[in-house]
Amino acid sequence: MLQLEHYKYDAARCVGCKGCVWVDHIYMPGVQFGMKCPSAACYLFDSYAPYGRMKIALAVMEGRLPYSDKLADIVYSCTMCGACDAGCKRNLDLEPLLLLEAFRQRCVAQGYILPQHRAVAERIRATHNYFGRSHEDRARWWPEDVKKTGRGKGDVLYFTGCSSSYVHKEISQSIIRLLQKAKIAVTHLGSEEWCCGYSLVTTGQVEEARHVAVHNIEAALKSGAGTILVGCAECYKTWKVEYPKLLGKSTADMGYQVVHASEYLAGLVQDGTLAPGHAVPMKVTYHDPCNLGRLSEPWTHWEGTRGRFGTLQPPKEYRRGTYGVYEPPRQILNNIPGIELVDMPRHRENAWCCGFGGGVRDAFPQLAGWAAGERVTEAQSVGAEAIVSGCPWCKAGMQQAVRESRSPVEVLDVVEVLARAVLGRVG
Amino acid sequence: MSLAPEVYDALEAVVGSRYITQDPVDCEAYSGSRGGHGKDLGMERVLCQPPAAVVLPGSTREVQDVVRICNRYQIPFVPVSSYWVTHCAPRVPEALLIDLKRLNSLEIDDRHMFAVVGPGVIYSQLLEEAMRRGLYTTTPGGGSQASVVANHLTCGFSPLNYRTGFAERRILGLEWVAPDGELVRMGSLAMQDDPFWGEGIGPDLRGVLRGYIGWYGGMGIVTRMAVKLIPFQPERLVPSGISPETALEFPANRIRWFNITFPTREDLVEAMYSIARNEIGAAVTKVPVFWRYIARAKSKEHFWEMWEAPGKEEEIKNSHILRVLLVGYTSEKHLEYEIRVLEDIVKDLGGQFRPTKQSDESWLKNADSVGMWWMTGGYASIEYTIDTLDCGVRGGEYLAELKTQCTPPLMPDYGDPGWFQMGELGHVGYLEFLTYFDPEDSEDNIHKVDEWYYVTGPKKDIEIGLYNGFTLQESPVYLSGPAYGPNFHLWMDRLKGAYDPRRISNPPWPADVDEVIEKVDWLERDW
Amino acid sequence: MNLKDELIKIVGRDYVLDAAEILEQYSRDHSFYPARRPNFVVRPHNTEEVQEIVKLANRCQVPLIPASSKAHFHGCTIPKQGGIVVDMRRFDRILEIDERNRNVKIEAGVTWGQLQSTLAQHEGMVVGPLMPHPEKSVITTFLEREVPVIQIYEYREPLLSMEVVWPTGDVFRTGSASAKNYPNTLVKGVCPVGPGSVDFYRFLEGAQGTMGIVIWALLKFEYRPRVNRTFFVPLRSPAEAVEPFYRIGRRKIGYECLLLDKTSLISILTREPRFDAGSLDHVLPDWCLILVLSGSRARPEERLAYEEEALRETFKNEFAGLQLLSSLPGVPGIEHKLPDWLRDTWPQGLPFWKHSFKCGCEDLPFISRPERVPGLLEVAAGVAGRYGHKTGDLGIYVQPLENSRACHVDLSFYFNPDSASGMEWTRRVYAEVALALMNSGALYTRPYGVLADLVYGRASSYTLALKKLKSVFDPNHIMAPGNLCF
Ligand SMILES: Cc1cc2nc3c(=O)[nH]c(=O)nc-3n(C[C@H](O)[C@H](O)[C@H](O)COP(=O)(O)OP(=O)(O)OC[C@H]3O[C@@H](n4cnc5c(N)ncnc54)[C@H](O)[C@@H]3O)c2cc1C
Ligand code: SF4
Ligand code: SF4
Repeated sequence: MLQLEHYKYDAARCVGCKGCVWVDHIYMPGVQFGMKCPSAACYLFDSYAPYGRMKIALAVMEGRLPYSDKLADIVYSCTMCGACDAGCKRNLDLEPLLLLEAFRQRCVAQGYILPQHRAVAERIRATHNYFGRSHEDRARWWPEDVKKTGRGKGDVLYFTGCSSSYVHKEISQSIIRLLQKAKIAVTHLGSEEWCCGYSLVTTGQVEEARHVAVHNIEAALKSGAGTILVGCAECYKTWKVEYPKLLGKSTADMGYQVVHASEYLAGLVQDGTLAPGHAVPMKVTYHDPCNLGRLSEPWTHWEGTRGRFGTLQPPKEYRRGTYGVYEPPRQILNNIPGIELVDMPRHRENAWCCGFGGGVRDAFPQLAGWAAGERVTEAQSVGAEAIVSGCPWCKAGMQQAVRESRSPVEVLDVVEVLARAVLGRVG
Repeated sequence: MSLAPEVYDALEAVVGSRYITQDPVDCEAYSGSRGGHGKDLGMERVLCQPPAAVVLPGSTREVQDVVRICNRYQIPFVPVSSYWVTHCAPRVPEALLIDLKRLNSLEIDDRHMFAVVGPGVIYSQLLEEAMRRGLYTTTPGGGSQASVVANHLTCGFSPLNYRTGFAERRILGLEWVAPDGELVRMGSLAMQDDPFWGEGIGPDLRGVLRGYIGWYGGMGIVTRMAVKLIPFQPERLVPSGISPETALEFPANRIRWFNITFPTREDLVEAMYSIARNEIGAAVTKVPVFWRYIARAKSKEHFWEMWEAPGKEEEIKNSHILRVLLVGYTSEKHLEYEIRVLEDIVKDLGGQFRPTKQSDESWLKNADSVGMWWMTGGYASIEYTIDTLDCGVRGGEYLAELKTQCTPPLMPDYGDPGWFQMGELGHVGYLEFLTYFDPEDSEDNIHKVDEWYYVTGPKKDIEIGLYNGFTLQESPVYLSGPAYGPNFHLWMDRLKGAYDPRRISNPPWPADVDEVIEKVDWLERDW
Repeated sequence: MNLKDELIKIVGRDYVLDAAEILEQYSRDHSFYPARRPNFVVRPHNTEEVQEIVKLANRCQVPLIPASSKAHFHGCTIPKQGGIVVDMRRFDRILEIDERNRNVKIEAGVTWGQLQSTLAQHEGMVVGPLMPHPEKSVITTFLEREVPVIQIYEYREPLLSMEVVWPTGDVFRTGSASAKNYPNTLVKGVCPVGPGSVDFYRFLEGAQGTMGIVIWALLKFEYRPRVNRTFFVPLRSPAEAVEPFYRIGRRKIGYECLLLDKTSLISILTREPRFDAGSLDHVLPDWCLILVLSGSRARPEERLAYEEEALRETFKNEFAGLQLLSSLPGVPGIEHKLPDWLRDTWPQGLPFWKHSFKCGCEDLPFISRPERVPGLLEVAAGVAGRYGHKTGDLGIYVQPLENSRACHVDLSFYFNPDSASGMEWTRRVYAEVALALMNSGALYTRPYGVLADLVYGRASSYTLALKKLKSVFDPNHIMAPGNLCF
């Protein structure tokens, strides 16, 4: 469990520069689309901005502010998208996101948990999936005509995740068909696959999260697969960053490697294994999922002390968002004939979150919907016919926004587009 | 502290329930205590408090109504635009914070080279739009996150002032809600619905809104301002890189940075004068040496490893680096001409060109002041003098000497005389003297830094005759007031009485420091 | 208490003047405003004397009218309600020339004739308005916000620190000269702003003597180029100048860039006896855009070369229909003389160029967006036409400001000062034109005489705020009452 007090230094040293809410000034596109923190942009009061939360956290730590519903509202109406974190580390290397994670964990520990988040945890406990659907149905997405090539000892374990298992099956199916086409042996956990626990860990419910983590890790290691392939950005970050964090370890010590489908498939396109022969004539833009982009760098466990001028002994590895998975999905798209790829004003580490992460889709659907709507507007501003992403949750969020705003924009996953180009079909 | 129900209701009726709060959790987020520029000192911990309530008005009219309500009920108010500099944080428990971020309209008149902005617009937003049109303005050293309106009202300094001059002179027509709630339109707006020109009719009331610096919330609220843009060059500066290494790539035919080393400080200063005399350049600046180390360091720990390496002190003492930005405003050949002139000057003075990146990380669209806190966690500039460059250099040398008495707890910087640069093509020079400390230091040491900042520095200014325009009010105004003008503080006070008869625009500024000094036991008033 | 005795106590008998002919002189100026006599004229010669005079005036509630120039043009120094003219002509010292920092410290009575000739010896010039009267005070020129003819410096305004005696009698130094012990300080006084959160200098500008008495000021000076090249663009109408203004300004080409109508150009050119108005009238174009390119100190020819190339390229690509001439047909050799003429004062001894036409002249200065200037000039011509004015009866000078973000326009109304009816008639035309222009968008930031009533009547909130300012600095209302809205 993260201790809020570990981040007291960060809270006290926040200078209010708002690097956490503005798009990096170098890339600043203007007044419209100038902010990257959905929470601050939606609620406007500084209390809903990362720097405001820093001050609030400090006051809580110093015993100046008691817990209240308002406090919980502020702590939870944030998508944990990490835009703030990358922004802060451009100049100052503070830890606004970890502070927030610790804050949530502390809220939970003190009994301040939102009912919607508790409900998610209950569903996951009961059904091992986010939706509360039958666990038996979890692996039903697997296309009947595709043979299970994995023998349990395959190099690649495809961890499907709840969304692609139950809802966005076009994503899981595209992935599996593309792998089949590339003749890659894939294994799958079947009923041993449980929800990754992203919704638990980001809402501070660490005990529940650790429970699923331990289960999934054990199952994966038992399968013998060294590589865990995911098509969901939430799963990606959870496996790569949250599991080690929950267990007090570093990513490098987990005994497995996590790969996103876009990374894996980009390699196969690059080396010619997969040939995108079908043109997909379309102007598209790529939406960087937070958990695949700026939040996806490996976790390095750190213990140490702070000395003079706030220096750390030993120095720690910062996750600044520099080495996120930004290029592989773009490489895939750029290799597809007919596709014209344009970036939105906010991209890569400055990307605007779809609004669905961090427990917001459960407890603050209005914020989630607003944020997704903003993203759709942004995509339209660059003339995109489709928004392509690398996460089923982003897709769900933006699809909902498209429906609500009756926008003509399509929302797709990068693997779907690749499947169209390589296989001439999706799913 | 919360507002009386009738006050809250009146305010809510103006801005709507979505845009008002007095929940203590919301209010805490607006506290200016600690963190932020200069808020790490002992004094600030006593000085600042969270507001009693916050409103987010959406129009000039709403601002005016809010201010009138404040007048009716005698509620102190504090306006903030970006709230980056939290200098203005409420000093009294019952204050209403007027957060102006919703007023974020931005319109550019390309042909007449000005932008009309609301207080919620920040510099990088303005510059993006301006540079697209071949125009620019000064991005303040404080960073592009500064509100364009607030910065024009309070500061506006950067190396680019070498051409663009003082910020107050870049203010055109504006709308001002005076502290008593009167709406005053200035510049051409006083006469017509067009803000294209700034001068007043007759005496210029822009002089009430700011001087060397602004009023930090103590003189009402500007809700809309037209600011000048200056011709730049037509090529696009392309953004590149991923955080933290992002930059704007220069078009090689139009913009160039030069780093030049000189054998002595005297040669460096002569070069600066010579460049100015020859009227070339877009920026001519000598930056503090540690900035260069910040730029190179991979982490705070890495910085300290480099900074405290054996032999550093000697090396830094003998390092005299000038940075010059040249821009081909008129044409490519303009740039070529300026390069030739610069080369002549450098050769004459025995300087040497050093490699430097041809991109903008700081000054044109972005300015990285935040990195200042990175080294130590605590930072306060003790001096901002504008007068001649010679004055700046000598002032910096005096202060470097003085600083040894207070190091530690201040961070050692080996006698560096600070940041100095040319302004207005050499007619003025600028000195900023930066000091760093550890805000987690012992209380005693923090109090020493307080003394250094609030008393020692200002007294030295008076003694040697520097013009620390900025810190005149950061320091006790009853110390600096009689010494400058003389008695500028009394004139300010009278103006305050005329425009803010109820004294509700961010009280008790500018005499806030004086009040606190009376309260704390680690500083003594002997003036 | 006898006021005269008190004044004599302060400045000495020789410097308190109340002879009828002297008071008569001070009762009028070059403007068309009716004469009004002061009660006394005093000529102090140091700050303390000025301070004592101001204190005395406060005690006696007598108006004070500060005057620094020896030639006045807009009626500001005509006492509106009697009182004492404080004539600063004895403050005539150039106190310091600082070549390294390119500034000069002068007293209020220093005139253009005096300053420019001195600075020329240092390769310097204070960038002043178009050929100022040699007797005009340099400081009051800028306090009046007259418009510099060279606009290439973004920072434009030349005034730096000043010493002032406020209407309360308090002495104050603005800007960095405000430091205690000045001038025995590290600062030299070159920072104009402050001290504190107030730009005190702003209150003195445009104040027409209502806000205090300036004793001395520092001013920037610039390098006076040695190598120059003049260009002329003959035009049929002011509208043709508009686009070139925008383009030249935006590309930062050249030093001077201005537009003159034929009448103004003739009054300037005829300073050389070899040119006579009648023949010039035949050869000159109706309008002439004048441009001067200049080299800097270093590699002057090279600077000229790239600027000229840019200028030619601009005209070739964008204004192919206009002629860019390097000499002015019918005015041989003028291209070599103009740069100096434009940077110098009007020669001592010659009738002032604005007075060469009919001996009297009243300027109507306004500011506008460049693109609106032609329309405004039409409005002016229309109204003046109704009074029988023909083209050429008004002198017109258009000065682009700050890279052409705006234009300053001077409309010169010529009259015969010896004809009371002629003056009255000019006043009427002037007032009508002024009103029509204001209604069409002309901006008066320096409201002299009748303009004051026009603008302050309209800008009510500004006026109210201005009066509050005035009450702070001049609680007894003794400085130049009747000027502006005070
Ligand atoms: C480390 C650091 C270095 C800096 N260096 C420089 C520098 O080199 N050059 C420079 O120019 N500046 C510098 N600054 C100052 C910085 O640019 C300021 O932040 C800026 O001038 C004020 O803008 P803001 O966005 O912070 O405004 P805010 O924090 O919103 O407000 C600043 C002040 O103005 C008042 N105010 C805000 N809006 C209004 C309004 N609409 N009407 C009336 N009053 C208002 C507020 O009450 C407050 O007191 C520096 C600041 C820091 C922290
Ligand atoms: S970027 Fe970091 S230091 Fe700056 S305001 Fe945000 S959290 Fe604070
Ligand atoms: S995680 Fe995202 S939503 Fe939350 S505070 Fe940071 S930027 Fe805002």
